[in-house]
Amino acid sequence: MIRSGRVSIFVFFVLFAYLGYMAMSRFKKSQDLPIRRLAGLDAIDEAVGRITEMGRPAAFVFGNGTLEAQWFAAFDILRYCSRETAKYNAEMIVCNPLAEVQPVVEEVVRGAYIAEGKPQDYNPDNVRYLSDTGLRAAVLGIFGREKVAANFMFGNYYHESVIFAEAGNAVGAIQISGTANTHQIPFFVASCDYTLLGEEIFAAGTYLSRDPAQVGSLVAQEYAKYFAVVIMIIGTIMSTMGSKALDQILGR
Amino acid sequence: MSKSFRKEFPMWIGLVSGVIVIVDYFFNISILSTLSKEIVQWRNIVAAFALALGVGNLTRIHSHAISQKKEYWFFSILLLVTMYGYLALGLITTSKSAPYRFFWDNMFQPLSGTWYSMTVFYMTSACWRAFRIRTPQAAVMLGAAVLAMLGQVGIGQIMWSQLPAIKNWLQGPFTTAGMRGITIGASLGMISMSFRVILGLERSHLGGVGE
Repeated sequence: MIRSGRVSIFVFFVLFAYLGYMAMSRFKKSQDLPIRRLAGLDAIDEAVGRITEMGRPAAFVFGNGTLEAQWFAAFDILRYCSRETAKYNAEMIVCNPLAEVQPVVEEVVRGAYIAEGKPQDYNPDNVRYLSDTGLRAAVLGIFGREKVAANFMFGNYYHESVIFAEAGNAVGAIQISGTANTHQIPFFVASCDYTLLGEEIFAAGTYLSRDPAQVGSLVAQEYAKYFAVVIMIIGTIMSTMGSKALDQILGR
Repeated sequence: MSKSFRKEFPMWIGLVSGVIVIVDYFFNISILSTLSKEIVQWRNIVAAFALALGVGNLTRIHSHAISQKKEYWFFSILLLVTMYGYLALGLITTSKSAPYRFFWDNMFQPLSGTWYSMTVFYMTSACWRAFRIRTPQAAVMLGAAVLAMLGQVGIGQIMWSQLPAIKNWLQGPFTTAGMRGITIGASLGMISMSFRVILGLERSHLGGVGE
């Protein structure tokens, strides 16, 4: 009944789910949350302070890639950034390239203003759908016209990463970015003040919310990483010795 | 509609849809396969409807800009005329007609290509900043980058025939190993994130519903 070639993935999946459940149960009542410091996320407060002092807006730009897990991670960060800007009566322009998430993006920002007790300050004109092809020109136009003082770039980024990061640099914005697309990380590292590398973007929601239930899934992720490292070491040794046994087991 | 219903209902839709698609990925059950395909199709239909919301958002923002005579308001007129004009042209003549293709081939495609081409200038300025030697690590990166760039172009091979081999060596064990390390971590992060969304632990995307 199980599909051919997916047995080992299924076993890994069940193991991962079990570890996640166990870790969630353990951390649910604990106050000692084992999350290391992520400088990029701590810098959001600094960036919001900067835009408040300078009286200039911030920009939150999503990547131009299709809707997948990175978008959900970016929603977490957007919510936090929106709450901070609402708290200090600052302005943030959200640039969205995908029509299907426009209602979600509007809802996240509106929800942040409601959570801060300032629903009257929510300006729907600051949550802009810019289309996937028009995003590059529109974002550069916003950076230039509005002279943004902070630029948050999170999500599924492709070649536009270097365009936005360099344009943000040109207007002197403090820049915080994050993507799991490995081919774009070097551009962010080169041009931005802080960058969340790969998996860090997925930990952002947990880091910002400090929700013990979410910490469990992060712990499971770490255990899975150790597991992957062990498998890689065993695979390297077996492959060097000419054995294909591990290939056959994982290929089932 | 109660607030808790508005909060819980989208979460349950996500949970049921996610479980069906995941179970179908692992198990060959005909009814689940049919349901899974339907769910994926619904996603496309919902996305198509959402395009209208995007158009509505653009119309609202640029109508405000025009009515309040904000800075560069005339560009808003241009945007609305272009958007609705091209939409009307497509609806009246279809997307395969000569007038529709004319604007697509002679305006949209060249402009889009220009944006892709501009990436190279931004990459150059990013490299300029990245290659400034401020630390020993930056010096190592600059050295590796110079070798990789020279190994990629013909003049490098003329200068020293071993440069392409060095470039391949740098891009092989070093770059690939580093990239794969990040990819494995990111993939596990994606699985973890998907779990949290499907199980309703991650609720940011539900916004202020219920608050």
